[in-house]
Amino acid sequence: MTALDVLRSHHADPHKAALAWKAKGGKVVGYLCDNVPDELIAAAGFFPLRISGDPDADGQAVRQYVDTLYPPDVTTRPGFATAMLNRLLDGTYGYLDFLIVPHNRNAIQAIYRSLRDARKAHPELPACEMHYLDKAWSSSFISETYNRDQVVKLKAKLEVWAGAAITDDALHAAIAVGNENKALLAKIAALRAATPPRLSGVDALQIIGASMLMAKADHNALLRDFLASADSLPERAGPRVFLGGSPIDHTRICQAIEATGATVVAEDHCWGNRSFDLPVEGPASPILELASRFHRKPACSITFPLSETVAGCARRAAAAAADAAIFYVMDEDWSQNWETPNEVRAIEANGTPSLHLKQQAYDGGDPSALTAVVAEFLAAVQKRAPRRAPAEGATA
Amino acid sequence: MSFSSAQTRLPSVDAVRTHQRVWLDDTRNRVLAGEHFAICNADDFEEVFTTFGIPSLVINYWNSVVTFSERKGDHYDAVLAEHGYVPNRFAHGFGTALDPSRAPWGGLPKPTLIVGTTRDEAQLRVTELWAEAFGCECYPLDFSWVSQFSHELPERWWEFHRDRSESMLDLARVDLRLEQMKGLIAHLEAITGKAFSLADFRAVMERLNEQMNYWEMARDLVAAARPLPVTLRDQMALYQVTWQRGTPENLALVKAYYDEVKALVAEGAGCYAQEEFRVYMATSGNDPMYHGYLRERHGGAIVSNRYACIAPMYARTIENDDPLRALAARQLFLFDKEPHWEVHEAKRWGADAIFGIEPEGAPPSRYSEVCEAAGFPYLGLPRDADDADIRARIDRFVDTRLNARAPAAQ
Repeated sequence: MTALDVLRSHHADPHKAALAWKAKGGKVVGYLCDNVPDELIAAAGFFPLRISGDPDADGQAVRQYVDTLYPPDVTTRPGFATAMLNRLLDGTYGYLDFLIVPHNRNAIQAIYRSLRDARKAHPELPACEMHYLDKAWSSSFISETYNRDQVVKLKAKLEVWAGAAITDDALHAAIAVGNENKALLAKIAALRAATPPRLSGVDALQIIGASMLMAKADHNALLRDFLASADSLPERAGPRVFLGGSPIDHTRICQAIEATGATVVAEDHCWGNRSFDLPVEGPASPILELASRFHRKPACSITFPLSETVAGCARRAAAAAADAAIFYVMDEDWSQNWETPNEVRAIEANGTPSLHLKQQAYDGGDPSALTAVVAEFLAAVQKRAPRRAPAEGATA
Repeated sequence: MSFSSAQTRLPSVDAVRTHQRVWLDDTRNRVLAGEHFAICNADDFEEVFTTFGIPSLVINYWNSVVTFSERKGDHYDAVLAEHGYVPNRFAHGFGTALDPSRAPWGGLPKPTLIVGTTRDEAQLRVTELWAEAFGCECYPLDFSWVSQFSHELPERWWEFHRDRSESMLDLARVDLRLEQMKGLIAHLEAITGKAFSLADFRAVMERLNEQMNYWEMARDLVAAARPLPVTLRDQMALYQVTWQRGTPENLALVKAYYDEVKALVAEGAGCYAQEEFRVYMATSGNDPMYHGYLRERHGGAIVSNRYACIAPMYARTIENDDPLRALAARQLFLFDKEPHWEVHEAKRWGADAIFGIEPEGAPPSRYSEVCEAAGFPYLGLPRDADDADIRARIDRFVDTRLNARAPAAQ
C-alpha cells in the first residue's frame, strides 16, 4: 500500500485509527468542527477524533430521539449537522470516551443539549461525558479574554478526564507535531494549486480529512512519504475550480465536479484547506497561543466582520488561480446563505465566474445530475475567457 | 373558508395599536430631523437606547410591519432572492433597505448603528448586511441563549426569572455580556455626545418591571375569568408594548389595559359566543386561522398561547444597585419552548386541551407525552391553516378526545 492508499483508507474508515488506539487501552476524545484545540487533547494523552457524518445515513436516529424533544421550529439544521448527530446517537461513535461540543453555529452547539436531553429521555442511547466549549464570536479584546478562559477551562476538564496535569512539555510537543502537520498540509495544498495541478481535489480532501481522524505524528509520517515522490505525480489538465459554500465531510461533491475533467484546486470549508491555515504561533506560552488561535479561528465560517470572511474566500480562490468558482450551499445552511452572495460578488469582481448552487442536499443528490450542471457551467466559462495565471504573491 | 364571528376589540388594545403607528411616524420625523436612531434585535439593547433617548426599532417588529401589517412579505422574498439569498422572514427588514421603494415609510432612514446580534449565525449576518446596505455601523454583541444549549435549566424554571435568574445562567456569560454592554454604552456616549445615566437607566428598568406587573396582573385576571374576556388576538396585540419597554407611555398603555380588563371581569363580559371547551396553544404564532372554525363548529375557544404569558419573563429584581447586570441576565435568557411550562400555563388558563405544531408523520413528541401525562388531550397539527384537512383533524380530535371525555385534570 502506498502512503496515499493508507491515507485514503483512513478517510474511508474514520474509526480505524481511533479503534486501534482503543484496542491498545487508550481513550478517545471526540470533537466537532475544526476550531477545538486538538493539541490539548493530544497533550492530555487522548486520541483526538473529529466527528464526521455519513452521507448514506437517513437521519432516522435524529428524528426519533431528538426531533421529538423540541418544537419543529428549533430543530432545523443543515444536513451535515444532522449526519454527525445521527452517528452520535445511533451507536457509530459508541466507543468515544468523551466528547467536546464547541459553541459554533447553532446547529452544532445544539448537539450538546440534544445529546444530553436525548440520553435523559432514552437511557439506552450510547453516552459519554461531554464538555461544552463556549466561544464568544465577536472579535474584541473582551471576547478574546473570554475565549482564553474557555480554553483554560477545557484544559482543566481534560486534566480531570486524564487524572493528570497537562505539562508544558507535552503541550509543546503536541503543538510542534500539529504545526508540522499544518506545514505539510500546506505542501499538499500547493501540489493541487500548482500549474498544472499534481493532485485531485478528491485526493486532497481525503488526505486533509485523514489528519483529523488519525494521530498527527502518524499522519505526518505518511505525508512526508507521499510528498517525497510528489514530483512524479502526473499533471492534471482541465479547468481549475474553487469550491465554496457549506462544509462537506465527504468527497461526493468534489467527485461530481472532477468527473467533468476539472480539478478542485482549493476550497473554502473546514474539511479542506481552511482546517490547517492557522498554526500555533510562538513558543512562550502554549496555552495562550492556543487560546489566541481559538479566538481567531472562525466558529464554522462565523467571524466578524463579514467582510473578513468574504475577503478570505476571495483570497483563497485567487491564490489557487481558479478559472471558476462553484458554491455548493446546503439546505438550511443559513450562515452560508447570507455569506455566499457577497463571496460570489467578490470573486466575480476578480474576474472569476461563479456558479451558486442553493439549497443543496448534504449527500450531493444524484451525482450525474450535479456533474451535468457543472459541465454546462464550465463549458460556458471556457468559451468566455482563457485561463488566468496565479495571482502574484498569493498563497493557498 | 373561514367562519366569521363578532369579536370585541378592546379600546385599550386599540390604543396600543394607535400608539405604535404614532411612534413609528414620530420616530421617522425625529430621524429625518437629524436625531440618532438605532436598530436592534428583540429583547436586546432597547432599554439602554431608551435611557439615551435614542429611538430604537426592533427588527422583529419592523419585520412584522412589513410582513403582516403591510403584507409585503412576498415582495421582499423576491427582493432577497434577486440578490442571491434564500428568503427568510427575519431578513424582510434588510430587504426594505435593498428596495426602499415599496417599504413602509418609503423605507427606513439611515440608522446611527445596528446592533449585530449573535443570537445565531444567520441573524449576525443579516444585521451586518443590513448595516452594509445602509452604510452604517454594525456593532455586534455576543448574545447566545446559552441556557438553551449549555446550561441545564432548573425544574420550574419559569418561576426563577424575577429574583433568581442568574441561577439559570452561565455566570461567565453574564460577565461577558456585561462587559460588552459597557463597551457599547461607552461607544454610544462617544457617538452621541450624551452621557449615560445609571440612575436614569435604573428608572427605565423599574418602570419596565411595573409595566410587566400590570401585564401579569391583567393576564391572571383574564385567565381566571369565565367567560374569557379578551380575545387571543387582543392579548397578542398587547405584545407590542414590549417594543419600547420601560417608557412612561407604554407603562400607561398597559395600566389602561389592566383597568379595562378589571372592568370587563367585573361585568362578566365574554369575548366569544361560546366556550364549550378551552384550548391553550403551545405555539409562537398569532391567533390561528382555524380558530373561527373551531368556535363556530365546535364552540371551542382558544384562550391563550405562550407569548400571551410572557410578561413575568421580562421583569428582573435589581440587586446590588446594578441594573445593567439585571438586564444582562435578562438578555441571556428569556424563555424556553418547553412543555412543562406550557402545561403550567394551560392549567392557569383552565384549558381542556392543548394544541401544538407537529411535523407530519413524526413519532409522538415530548410535548405530546408531557401534555397527555398531565391530563391534557394534545392535538399536534402540521400547520396553521384553515382547510379541509385541518378541519377534519380538529373534528376527529374533538369528537374522540373532548366530547366523550371525563373532565380534564386541573
